[in-house]
Amino acid sequence: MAIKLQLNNLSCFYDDIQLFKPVDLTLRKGEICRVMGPNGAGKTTLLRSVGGLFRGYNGKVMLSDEASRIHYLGHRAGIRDELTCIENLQFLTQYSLTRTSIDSALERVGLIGYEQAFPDELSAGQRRRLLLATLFCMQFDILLLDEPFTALDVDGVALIAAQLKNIAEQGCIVLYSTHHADAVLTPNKTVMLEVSQ
Amino acid sequence: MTIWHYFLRDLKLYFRNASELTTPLIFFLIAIAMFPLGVSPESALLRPISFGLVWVVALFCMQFSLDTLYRDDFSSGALEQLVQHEVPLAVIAISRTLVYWVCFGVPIAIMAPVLGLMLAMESSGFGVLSLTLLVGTMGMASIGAIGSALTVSLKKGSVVMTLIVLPMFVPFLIFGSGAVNAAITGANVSPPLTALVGITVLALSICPPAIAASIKMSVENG
Repeated sequence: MAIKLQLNNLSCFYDDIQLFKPVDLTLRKGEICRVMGPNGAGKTTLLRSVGGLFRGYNGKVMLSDEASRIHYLGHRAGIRDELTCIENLQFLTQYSLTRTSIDSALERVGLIGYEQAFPDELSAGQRRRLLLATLFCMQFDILLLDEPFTALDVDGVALIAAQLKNIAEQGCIVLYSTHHADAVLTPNKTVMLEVSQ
Repeated sequence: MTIWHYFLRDLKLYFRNASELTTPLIFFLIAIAMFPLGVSPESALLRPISFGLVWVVALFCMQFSLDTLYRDDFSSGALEQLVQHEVPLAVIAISRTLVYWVCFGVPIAIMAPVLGLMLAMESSGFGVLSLTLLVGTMGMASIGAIGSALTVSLKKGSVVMTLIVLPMFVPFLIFGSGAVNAAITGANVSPPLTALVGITVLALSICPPAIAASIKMSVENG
């Protein structure tokens, strides 16, 4: 099985302050990895570094295939209150999908009937579902998710966990951060970030 | 065409956020209206400086509104998503600058002759005033977008942006008001107008990659 993503001695810095002790990780096609650690340990920063959205790191992020489609979905993730759910989802999926596919994704996350609603009319959990609807309609090679289960109810957690398993089974690497050892999703690997002194 | 989707998205964002759209234009109107009250209502005093005042206030109006160009997209995480999109950032930057110009530059150019009338401006300069503002605001929007993208992740970004961008607006002001002055005095309008068009074309051609690089840098530092 070909190595697809490798982190060698990776540590992130903000204003010359090291966030966590260096991390080594190798993830192969189809593996799911959980990143855990206390608040401020740098979970989001690690994911952003892997996604090429943060350059303040030492060590190496290596991809076996430079053409891999990496997608980072943070907890803010670009939802604008001025746009309807459908318009936000079209933006998040890069305007590459048909209306039918988007409707189908909204239906999967239980937001059917909210197509023309604005995000500020949704609850925190529904906003999260809107964001995660992209998982049901996009193709990735490496998926980076920042606390995907936050604000979701039990059904929502189960739905997203099942979809992450499904995405991994299709050959995608899934790397996600969380505060909890979620029983609903058993990752292949866990990275525990240790705050650097 | 994908870029059309980004253009429409940005247009919707402005039109659904009424205060962001109207505040700079109201500022433009009120600031001009205050000059006859603060300086003098005498036509003889206002007429020679009228087109210059309109140009200076338009410049500040652009400066204030450019500050918000990428702010909400940055705070909502949309810029982070844009960086990951397959459409080149420079193309998205062109679309955003064009939308900004449609929302602010075009209304300023349309309002300018009416405001010039309030300042007793010679009617022979109205057409050139509108034309120079139409061209100049496009160039200023392109340059201002670099400053906006560069400073969006900074806490005191608007102050830094003013220091970066305002000096670069000066050539637009000189050639823009110079062309209007030429039109009013009966001199040849072509040299200053050509220079204004030239620097605008230059700004349009070199700014998109710079805006894209600035957005990427802000996201990576944010």
